Amino acid sequence: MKYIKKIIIYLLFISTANAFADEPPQSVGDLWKIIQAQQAQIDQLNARLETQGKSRETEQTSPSAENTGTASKTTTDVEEVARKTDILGAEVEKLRTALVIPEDKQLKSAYGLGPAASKVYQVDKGLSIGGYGEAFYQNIVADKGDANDNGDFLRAVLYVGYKFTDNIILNTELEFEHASTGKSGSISLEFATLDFLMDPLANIRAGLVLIPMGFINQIHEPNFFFGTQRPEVERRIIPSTWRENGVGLFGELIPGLTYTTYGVNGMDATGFQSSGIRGGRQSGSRVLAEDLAWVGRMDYAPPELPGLQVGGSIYLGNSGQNQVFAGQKINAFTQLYEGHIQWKYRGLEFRALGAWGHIDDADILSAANGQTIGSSNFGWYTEIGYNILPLILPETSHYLAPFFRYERLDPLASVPNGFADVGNLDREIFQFGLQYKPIPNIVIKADYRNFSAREGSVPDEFNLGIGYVF
Amino acid sequence: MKTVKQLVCLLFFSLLILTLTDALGKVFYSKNEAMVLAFGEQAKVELLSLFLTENQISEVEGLSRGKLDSALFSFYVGKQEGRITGYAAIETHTVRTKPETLLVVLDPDGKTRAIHILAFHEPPEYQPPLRWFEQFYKHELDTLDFNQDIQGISGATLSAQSALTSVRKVMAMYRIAKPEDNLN
Repeated sequence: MKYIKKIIIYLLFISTANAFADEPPQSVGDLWKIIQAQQAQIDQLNARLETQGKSRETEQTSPSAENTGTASKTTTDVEEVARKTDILGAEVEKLRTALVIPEDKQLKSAYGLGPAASKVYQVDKGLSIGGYGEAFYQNIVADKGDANDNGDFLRAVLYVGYKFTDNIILNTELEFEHASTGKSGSISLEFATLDFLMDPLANIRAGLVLIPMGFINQIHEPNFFFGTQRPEVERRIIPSTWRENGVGLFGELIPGLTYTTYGVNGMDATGFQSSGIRGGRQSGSRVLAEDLAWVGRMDYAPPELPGLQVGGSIYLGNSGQNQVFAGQKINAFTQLYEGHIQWKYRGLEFRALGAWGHIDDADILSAANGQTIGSSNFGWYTEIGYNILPLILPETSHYLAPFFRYERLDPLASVPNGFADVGNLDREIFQFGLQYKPIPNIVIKADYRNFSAREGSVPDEFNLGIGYVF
Repeated sequence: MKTVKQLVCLLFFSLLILTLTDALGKVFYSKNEAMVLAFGEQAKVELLSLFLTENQISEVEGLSRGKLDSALFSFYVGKQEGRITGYAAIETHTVRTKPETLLVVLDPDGKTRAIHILAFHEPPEYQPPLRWFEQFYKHELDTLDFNQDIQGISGATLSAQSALTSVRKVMAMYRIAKPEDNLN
């Protein structure tokens, strides 16, 4: 018995001594290994104590000085190892938190990192990388016409941000569309902005900015909207993804009331088509800036009703860009107004959005562009989805939501005198589908879209898609 | 139009100069400040390290619906005049690729009393407003769910999701590891 005890104490001494005699632990992992080793020793010694306790009970009738001394020594050893384990536990916690916040106020750096921690662990301070992507397969199920079943890796987007200081931040997104530039794909800058953060009330943003209209144009990661395809209203009436070069302000005026406003280059009316203003986007590439535009947005999320958001936005600007249309220079004043509401409540997700636009000089534009340009356009949609999985599997973290969306849009709501309406563009869309997320960053989608038009037919689709965001 | 353009340029440069000369650096909380936030100036704070068994890890993961990355968990225990005033945990999770660090403060009975963002390394627009966290206060663990008492937030979906998991983790840890039983 005495022999075994000596071996245990010797091993304990050697291992503990080694732990402290070597180089100090370099990481949380190293410390954790030491703690685990010590915890094992504590368990071993505790077991030993229990055994000795039992032995003492049986030997109480004839206690010996040797047994009493052994028990006392082992108890001291256990206490000592427990003390060291506590110290190491505290050190691990200190290292863990030092990776993200400094210990003391005096050690605060610009990024909230302890300077020592960032140096030792080489944490990249300002760089932020993210991205998203989406791909789909489309099966034409009715009114096929000339349409064929198809598939596309629609987007792969890489986000890179850099925090130069706590109040000067760069945000960029580089977009790869349709998988290959050799097959009508493209690589574009989706946005690139410098934010100058001054005060919650007002901050400056400059660069290639996303026009702050609707739901999709600013937040278009596939995980955050229903359906494989973006809503048609937010493609044709609000031409997402719509970005222009500009500068402006954003901030929060009172709790829950946020705004964004930019001055940007105007659109280029030479790109306007019967299907909408989408072709008039300049997307930051060698833009014409003879005409500027103003866009403003406000949203209110009442603090008393978490999950509710209501808002609206306005775009106003000339699109003529000092160019000649059918022999004359025109302003082509372009207006777009939009309102939206979103409500998330107990797994229910509801959205509604309406947009109305007007284009001046539509008759001249129609003559110049060789197709009818709508004097006015409109679109609206509403959708509802509900995460049903917690009803079936209460402890699950997965997400499965059936959803339904209804859309109505007409980019030629009114046409200039002498130009024909295109009834096929006046559309109504019924869509339903399923959205599954095994984790919040991954989404698998399936949906059916039924199109009907005032004139002619539009192919109906069944879509399967995947998406990711990180 | 020319005048408008010139005014816009002038406004931009004026504001830019204002920004650079009167920069209000964004301040994060240090750990010591976080402890004051959690328990007040006068409190004595002790660190309690919990060494979880395999079963406890499994139970906490089940309740929190998230993975634990370690069998070691640390609670900060606030005491005043020998009485426990609350438990706090500093929880760090990845939002997209960058961490967010929360201070989660529990009442002595294990319900969430306060949540503070100590550090947020993603772009600021992904940061949920502090008032959004107020939904968590005084609720039972079982009701902390987007299908129950917590409502989502648009524009910060991933941040909200990971914050929810972190708070559930701290509450589950309290329930399973029973910190009050491990205090000396």
